[in-house]
Amino acid sequence: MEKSYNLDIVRADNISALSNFKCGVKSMDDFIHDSENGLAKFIKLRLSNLWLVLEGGKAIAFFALSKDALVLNNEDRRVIESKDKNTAVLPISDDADKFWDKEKYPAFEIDYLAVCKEMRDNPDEHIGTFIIEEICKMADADIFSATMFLTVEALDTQEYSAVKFYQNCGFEFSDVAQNKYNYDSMLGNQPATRRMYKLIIPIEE
Amino acid sequence: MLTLHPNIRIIESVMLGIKTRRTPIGGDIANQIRDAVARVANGQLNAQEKASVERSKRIRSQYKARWIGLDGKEL
Repeated sequence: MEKSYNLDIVRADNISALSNFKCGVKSMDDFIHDSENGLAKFIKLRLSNLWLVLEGGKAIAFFALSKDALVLNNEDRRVIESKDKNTAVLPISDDADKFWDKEKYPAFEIDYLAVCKEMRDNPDEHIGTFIIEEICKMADADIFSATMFLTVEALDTQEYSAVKFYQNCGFEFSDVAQNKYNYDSMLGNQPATRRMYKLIIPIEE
Repeated sequence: MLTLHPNIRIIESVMLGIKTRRTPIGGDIANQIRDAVARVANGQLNAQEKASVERSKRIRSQYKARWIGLDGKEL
């Protein structure tokens, strides 16, 4: 029988509840506990909203969100339409123009997401997947604005890659794979990531 | 200052109040995104998306969550 969980997802304006938190990925743990330039700084500057996932008062995961958009280049419309005219799903009616004219699709970006090491060691828990589902649910229910996608820059380094996790959660790549080392040389010593998106599908409970 | 590959087109734009220097998504990936949006809008989910919905329901049934704001009140 599957274990069931009762969780509190609590907004926090600082990272004090994460003082003993470890996810087991060194670069992420270093970032969480770097008081000068790490997670605390981003939350303090209000660049990202922090949410703690608590079970029995203990932080078992956290995530941080901000606004984003998928920006599409529609300059190649004719090429795509002629190539895909027999298979395109886009409606042929007037609606097609609406989709083509729309250059930006609103999204929530997952800036950070980490699950504690004890939970990660048990892959049957699916806590990370549940968090993604909850974010989708809340985004879909957002009363202020339409939110059609989740986006993420998935960490993809030799030490750890989150790409498989996000793919299992239904994310797709929104960039063309680049050589990580080229990425490094272009943008400095930023960690290698893959940009991914997930379509939010409304689900009736 | 960023040094970028000359073949990479970077457009600085403002979207939803956020400045971005990301390259707009083009070609097949953009087309897949448009198709996905159209499928959901028209209620024509493909097999993969239908399976994803079923998986979502299964995962959601395993957990119960309360969302609590900075004021301590449940959202």
